[in-house]
Amino acid sequence: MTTMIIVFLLLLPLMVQSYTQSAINLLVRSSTTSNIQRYCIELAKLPNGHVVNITTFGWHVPYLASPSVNACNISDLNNSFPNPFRSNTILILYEHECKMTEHAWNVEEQFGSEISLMIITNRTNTQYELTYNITTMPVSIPVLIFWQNDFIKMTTKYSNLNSVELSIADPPDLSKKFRPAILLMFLLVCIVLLCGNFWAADEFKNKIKIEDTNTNNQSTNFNSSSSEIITKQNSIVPSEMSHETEPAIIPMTYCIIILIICFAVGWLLLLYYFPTVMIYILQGKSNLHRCLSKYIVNLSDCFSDVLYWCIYIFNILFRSFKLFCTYYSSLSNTISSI
Amino acid sequence: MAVSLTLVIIWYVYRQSDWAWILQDILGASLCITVISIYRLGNMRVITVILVAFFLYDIFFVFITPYIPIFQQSSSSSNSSTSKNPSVMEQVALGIGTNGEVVPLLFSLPLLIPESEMDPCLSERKSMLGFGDVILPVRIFSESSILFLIVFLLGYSINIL
Repeated sequence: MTTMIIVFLLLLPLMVQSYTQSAINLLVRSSTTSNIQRYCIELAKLPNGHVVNITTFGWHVPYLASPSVNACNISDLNNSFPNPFRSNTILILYEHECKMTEHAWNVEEQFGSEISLMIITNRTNTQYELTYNITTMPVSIPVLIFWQNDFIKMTTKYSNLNSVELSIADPPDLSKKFRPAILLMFLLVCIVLLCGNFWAADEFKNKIKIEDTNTNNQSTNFNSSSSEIITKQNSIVPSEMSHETEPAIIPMTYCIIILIICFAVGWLLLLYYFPTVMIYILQGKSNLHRCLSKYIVNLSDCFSDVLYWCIYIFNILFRSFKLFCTYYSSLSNTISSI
Repeated sequence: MAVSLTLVIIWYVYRQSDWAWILQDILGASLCITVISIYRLGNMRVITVILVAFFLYDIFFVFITPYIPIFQQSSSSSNSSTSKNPSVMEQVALGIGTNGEVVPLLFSLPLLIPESEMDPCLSERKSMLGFGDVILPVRIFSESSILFLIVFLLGYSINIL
């Protein structure tokens, strides 16, 4: 246990660091409006320890290249653009069939180290590190990687890119802001906590009341009034005299705890490895979706279809539960007899 | 019964809508209240064992799995890129690989922050809390002394903040 806690404490700073290094924000401001729009962008890690200073990056003018311009070919760059660019220009290029490092190195070779580069890509879930062949391509210009769908959104919002300026900044620190959602979540938990416990207390009071009534009306021996018997350490099993009104009690042995943990692990792994299948099964998509999407064209067919599957699943569950109960009670009897 | 069924059907039909979280939370709260009010776990030792087990379970599936190769997603990355690997728990909760379809076993609330102050890189703009994170700790509340309850409430508040 202590080892686990120490491992956890050692890993935590690494994880926080790796997550915070991932993405920054692209700031876009237009000369026509005062609003600054934020987009998610990746800043590539540069080789040889080169670091882009985000705070002193400043505002840049975009220069959008045609999608056909291939930065993998330096002669194509030479023929397609004016030379030189203004020093605060971001050259926006579409990704082609070579490494990001080659794109960046060719641009730096052609236009010098004063230019910044933005590469439009349709790849997601990637973190770019220009370490490819660092001895021959020591890129030092800022390289921003922009997801194509976000770029389309930006160009839709700002139809004329000549009237906008671009910069980069760290994302807003949400942990320092007041978040009403957290307060609401806490209230929700409190409601669940209070309602759950009050309801349980109410059930308990009702049970006591019924038991008192029964005790007054019937003369019974002391043993029959006990509502539960303890058969084994850490296990509480409802007695034979339990009433249906009594709240359920899970017989909780270490075996059951292990079963619960195994179920939780299995459940999570099933959702992880077969997400689509699980979603289909859990949502009963094959039946319910057909019913609801067509607005119940043939209600009786759909209903009977769903009902059939519900009864089938319930039947299987019920049989499994019955089998489990039988096995458990026989096991308990064996243990108590021993 | 009719109201419950109606809520479930409305949620199912409109589950992709912006306001579906309201129905999801109502259904979730009802489920949690029912579980808490009906089932008992016996004694403090059992609860402690379960909580410790789930503590380790959470640590493994949230923090350790991103570093285990069998839980890493295959990606079309080139030499110049290294893939970010979300944890198993994150992928299941966010419905990665299911076109946004998730199993609704969590409370979900929008962040309620203006768009201009929001980080656009956030993949999920919601606060989420799994049902297990509510049901299991609340069981302690039901079955412990007043001093323990105060400690529990303080700890839980700090943790959730």
